[in-house]
Amino acid sequence: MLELKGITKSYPLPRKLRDPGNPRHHGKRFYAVENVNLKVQPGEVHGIVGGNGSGKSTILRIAAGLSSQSSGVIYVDGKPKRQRQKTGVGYLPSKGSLYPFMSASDNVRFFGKLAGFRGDDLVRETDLAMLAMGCDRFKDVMPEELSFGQSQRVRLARLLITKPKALLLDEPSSGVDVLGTLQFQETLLHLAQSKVPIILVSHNATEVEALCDNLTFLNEGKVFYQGLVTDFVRANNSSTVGQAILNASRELDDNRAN
Amino acid sequence: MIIAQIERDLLKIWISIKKALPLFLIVLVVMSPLLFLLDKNTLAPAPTPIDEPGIEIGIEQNLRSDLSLWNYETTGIKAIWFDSKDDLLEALTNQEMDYALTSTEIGELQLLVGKSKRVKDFLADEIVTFLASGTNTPVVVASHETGAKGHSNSPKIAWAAVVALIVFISIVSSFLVWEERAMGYLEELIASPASHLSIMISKLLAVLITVGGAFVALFVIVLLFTAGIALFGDASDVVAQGAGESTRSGSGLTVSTAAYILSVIAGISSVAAILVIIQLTIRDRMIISLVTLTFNVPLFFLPLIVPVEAFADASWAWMLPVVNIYGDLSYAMLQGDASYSFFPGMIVNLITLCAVIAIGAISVGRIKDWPSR
Repeated sequence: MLELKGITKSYPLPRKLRDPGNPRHHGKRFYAVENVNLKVQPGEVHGIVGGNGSGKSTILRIAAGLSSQSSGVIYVDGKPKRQRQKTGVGYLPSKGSLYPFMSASDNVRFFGKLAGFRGDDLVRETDLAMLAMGCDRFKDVMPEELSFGQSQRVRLARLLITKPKALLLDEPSSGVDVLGTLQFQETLLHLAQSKVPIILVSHNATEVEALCDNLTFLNEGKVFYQGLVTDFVRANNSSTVGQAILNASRELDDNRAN
Repeated sequence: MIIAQIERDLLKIWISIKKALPLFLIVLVVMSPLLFLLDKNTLAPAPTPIDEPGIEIGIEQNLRSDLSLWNYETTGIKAIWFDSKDDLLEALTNQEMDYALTSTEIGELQLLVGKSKRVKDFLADEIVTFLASGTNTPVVVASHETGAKGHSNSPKIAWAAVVALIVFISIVSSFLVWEERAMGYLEELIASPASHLSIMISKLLAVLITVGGAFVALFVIVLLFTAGIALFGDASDVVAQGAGESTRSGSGLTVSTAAYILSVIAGISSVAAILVIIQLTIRDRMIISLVTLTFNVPLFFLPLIVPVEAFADASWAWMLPVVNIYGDLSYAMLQGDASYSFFPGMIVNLITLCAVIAIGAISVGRIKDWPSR
């Protein structure tokens, strides 16, 4: 289980950039995210949606240990994580790819070595991770010959071999064609069955609808909605997540204008 | 964990080199004949007998009565001066004479040789015998290192090699750190189970192994090229001279060779670690280029600004690994001073290296605060 409690991240603001009218500026600081609470259970896929700059990726980076929170606590399997402590979660950044000079299985093997596997254990764990992600058919293929969907599966296998306590996926299907997106969704559903909690940041409303049980809608660094996807759709008088996000955004714009 | 990361980095470099290998080979094939021709044209002409005007010898005034100076014109001596010991030493230092015959405190005769290169000629000509013929006291031949300071190119060549190494380290660290960072690989590595310290150490070692390997390869190429010229170009003296210089330089370093080597390795490693940290922490590529340029280029000119004498007591230089390398190299190569101890320099360089690696580990942690886009 992964839990974020009261997570706030703020940066000092240069004097010339301070704007008292900006809701994210408090005194001398800019608040990237403010008091975010989030709990993801094993086997659950939790979606984070919101506009550009709403703090989605910041939350993910904090949970991955790539950015430190100004306040708040992260619990992994019920234990609080100290500053600078490795969280043991797997993070798939939106920017990043496989090492182009290593085959698919060598990419996975490298992360296995980082996780401390050696010898026969390393071979076995590599094969298991590749098999779990359906990558065994192209394990000796070089990354340049893989489709985007296949590459993403290998990247996930690379995370799985480290035995992550949770998976954090930042726009994993961004820029993928329809077929690739559908294949990737299948992979994620398969992954969720392995009881690993997953947080998925996505701009793709269809993907969120297909994969997520719960979602968090972030607006200007604060939680606007958190709960079941179905409730979110219903609360915004919509039939799809995409429509619900649009309606919610309009409501927020109206509130801001008033 | 560290080895796995180094393996990956070296594999990346090897793949890149393999891709660029045909280009290197083409350049080598095109350039070799050209270099060969250029080298042939610039080789020094075969030594021809020069009509030596003769040598000048100074003799301490109070030895005048002890020596019978007969028939010296026939031995190639142009002139003999008599003067006080201090004036003779000054004349030797200013290269106004070739040799000075003085007495030591214990009453020995001492022949001071101004231009040490000519010792062999001098002994071969049996001038010593001639000079000593009027006395029963044996003559001790000693080299008086006149004007050596500021005239020898060895420390400056060594310094140029060190700075070239630093520039190359800068290039490789950019390749292994900045590029990884820009592509997002480093971020994934930091999020992986690899510790910050292991990332820092592995990057540093990968940079050093690559640079070390490249320099060994370059050394072998230069050696083969020089040997080739010696074989086909009748320039064996070039090789012989080079070997001679090495032997002579090496002899001065016998006392603390290991400390000297460790000191230089630790110093260069510190510099490499500093460059890796620059690549890790500065966000703007242009500023990185500017910092590395301003860091590297002035190093070339350091020997012109700071006199070698400043390193005789190089305690202040131990503050900085870069300056320390220069101090060690210059002092060792120029003075060949057995009493010069490299141990303090080595210890300070090692401490600096450890401190820089620790700072590097923190700077890897600082990557966490990079903006996500």
